[in-house]
Amino acid sequence: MSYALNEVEAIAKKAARGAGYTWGMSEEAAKATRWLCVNGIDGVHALATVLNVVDGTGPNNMTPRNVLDIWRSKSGEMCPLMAGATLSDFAAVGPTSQVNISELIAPVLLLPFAAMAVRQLGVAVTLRWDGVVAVTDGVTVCLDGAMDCLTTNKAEQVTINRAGQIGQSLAQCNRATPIDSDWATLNRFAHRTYAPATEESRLKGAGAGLSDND
Amino acid sequence: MASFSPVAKPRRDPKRVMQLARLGSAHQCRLSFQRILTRRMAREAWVFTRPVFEFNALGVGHAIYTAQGPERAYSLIAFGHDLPPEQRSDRVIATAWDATFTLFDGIPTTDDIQRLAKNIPLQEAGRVTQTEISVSRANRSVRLWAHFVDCLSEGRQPDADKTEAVGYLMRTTAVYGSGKLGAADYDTLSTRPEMGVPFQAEMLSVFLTRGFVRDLINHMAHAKGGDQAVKLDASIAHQLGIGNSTGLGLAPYIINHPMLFNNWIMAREEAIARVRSVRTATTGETSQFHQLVRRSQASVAAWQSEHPIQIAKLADLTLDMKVLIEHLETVDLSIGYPWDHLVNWSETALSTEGQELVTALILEPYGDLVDGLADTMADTDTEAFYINGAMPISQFRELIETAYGWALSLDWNDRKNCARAWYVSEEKLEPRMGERFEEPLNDYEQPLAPARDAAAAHQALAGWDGDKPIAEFLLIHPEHRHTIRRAQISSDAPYAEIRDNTIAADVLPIDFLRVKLAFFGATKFDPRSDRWVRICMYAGAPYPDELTAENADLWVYPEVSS
Repeated sequence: MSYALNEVEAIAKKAARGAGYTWGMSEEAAKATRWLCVNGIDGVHALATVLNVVDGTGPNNMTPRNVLDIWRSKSGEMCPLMAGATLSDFAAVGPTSQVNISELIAPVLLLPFAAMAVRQLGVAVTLRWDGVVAVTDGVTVCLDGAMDCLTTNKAEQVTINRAGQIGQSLAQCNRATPIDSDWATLNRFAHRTYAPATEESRLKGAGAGLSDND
Repeated sequence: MASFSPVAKPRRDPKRVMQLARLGSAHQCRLSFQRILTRRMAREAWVFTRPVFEFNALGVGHAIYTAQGPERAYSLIAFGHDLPPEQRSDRVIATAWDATFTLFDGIPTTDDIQRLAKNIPLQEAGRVTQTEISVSRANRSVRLWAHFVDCLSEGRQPDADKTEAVGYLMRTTAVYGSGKLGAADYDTLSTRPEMGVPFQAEMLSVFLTRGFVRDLINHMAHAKGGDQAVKLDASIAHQLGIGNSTGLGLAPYIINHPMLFNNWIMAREEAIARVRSVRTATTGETSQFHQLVRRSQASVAAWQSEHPIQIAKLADLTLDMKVLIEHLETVDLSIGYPWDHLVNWSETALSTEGQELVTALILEPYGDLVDGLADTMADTDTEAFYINGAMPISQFRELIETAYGWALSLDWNDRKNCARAWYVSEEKLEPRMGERFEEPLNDYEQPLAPARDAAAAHQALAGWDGDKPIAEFLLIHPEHRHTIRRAQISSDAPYAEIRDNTIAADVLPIDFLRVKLAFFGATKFDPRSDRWVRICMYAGAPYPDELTAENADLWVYPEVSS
């Protein structure tokens, strides 16, 4: 089924929140998922992969412990949302020209954050993992390698360089067509953010009072 | 032509403008989305047609209304249903309605109609595609509908008293746009000139819906009365708007879109500042103002509410109008900076409702100064989302102190200051507000208390070196990320933040609804509780087939005999 990008963003935000991310990080997850879909990459699948891994471990154990040469997390596996936000936040802070991230879940989710870094730095950024070379100019993505390498669940090491040449970019999309099971995964996590309906909340919570049938 | 001040008067202080009681007293003005739309459609000579209208005697069937602009056409597809009275509810949790609608991008084919007939009547349970721009539904006013059909079918016009008391034959209970249910994303439409101003598609949908409702009542009266039936008198039809019943769902919107909300308020405040900077007013301008004050007084007189809060505010506003008119009889508007003087006077003499009405009314003679600001009301700043991690912590402290200074000294542990929690119910995802200390809601709380969260972030920043970049703080404190983002947005957007406690024991969600609906152009706010409100849209407006440059703008003010 085809979804509007606002639908993708809305469900991604709720799903991330349901999986235990803070509201601010859930907003990042939503924008990142949308950004991938705009570039024709299945962001819904990437997010579903991350949420399934994070569920239980908790995102705080999958955050960079520091921002030295090789980023590692407490639990071993690294969350691409936490690493991505850190990448973007530190873009204009340090002079580091190369960052390495260990054991990164769904590495493709790092791309939207690299794009945010590009928009602050004004230079293209290149990501490399498992034979994939992905360059972003902040808006579009140029790939060297097959699309299916993109969707790997985990990369042993991802290297990020502040340099790159944009060649033929992926076509931009204004709809998303995620896999049904991934969409269901996001809905399952999102459901955790909904309060169970009670008769009291039905009557009071939305302010029913005077008749609404007149 | 107005002459300007060599020294422009400043915009009003956000600390004052952004208090909930003042936002909750907002009125429609030249920058309301309905008026921006009708002005544009008249200026561009849009053409309106009704290629299909097929209904039975019970109002079951469908119709198509097409609005043809200079480059593109938009079509309202309306489906009529025979709804049992016990199923009629304005709540989001309703599952059936008297009429359902979609605004189609272009002119629908027979296949489109067949597809939409299976989906639009289901509303949230159906799916649409990117050729649909909005999805909405409406219920009949039980009080008026039968009366109108009966009267017209018997060859007479309905009672004026009944018409005035309700003001509409149908009220919409939701108008979904921007990607909801699979519809087109706003991003895909926003570069079209006619869609650049916020909510233009939704306002067009309601404008066309009003025409449909008039046609349907005439049709049903004729089906019942045959040759004996008469058509609804044009003067009564003009008084009728489209009602709207709005609940809590709208309230989070203005908190969740801080940059967009800033742009609306900023445009209005800039308009007010420009008019206050006018050094001398022409007699044409002052006489138009006098006339519109009289017409506005008639509008206030026709505004009814059953809610004690609004009854009290209306009593104040009625008195305000009297005081204003008396003041205008004594004051000389040919003095220097007449509008600035008038606004200053209103702040000492009128209630908040009256003060806000004065600021809206002074804009009316100055379309040349005001109307262009409509183009600044959308949120096109995609960079505002990104956090600048290099910004020093000291700067964030200042941003928080500027936007939320009042909140830093509040005792957020005091139960009355955090009594409420906003949440989303699993029941049809209805947004609700509950009592934090009486219901188990904390785990489900939505991030709609920016002031409380800002106070917490400010406290967490206390021990940090001010020269360090905020990125270091965020690495350890991701729980403050949304607050840091908002604070950064507020540095370029002084009107982004509400300067009040959105979870206080005495918070009134109707204040949030009021300001948003005022920007839509709504009138006759009638709260039905502290968290839902009925309003009227397009009351007094020309119908699509009557729209001209002469009647496209000031229709919101009822005509009065001088």
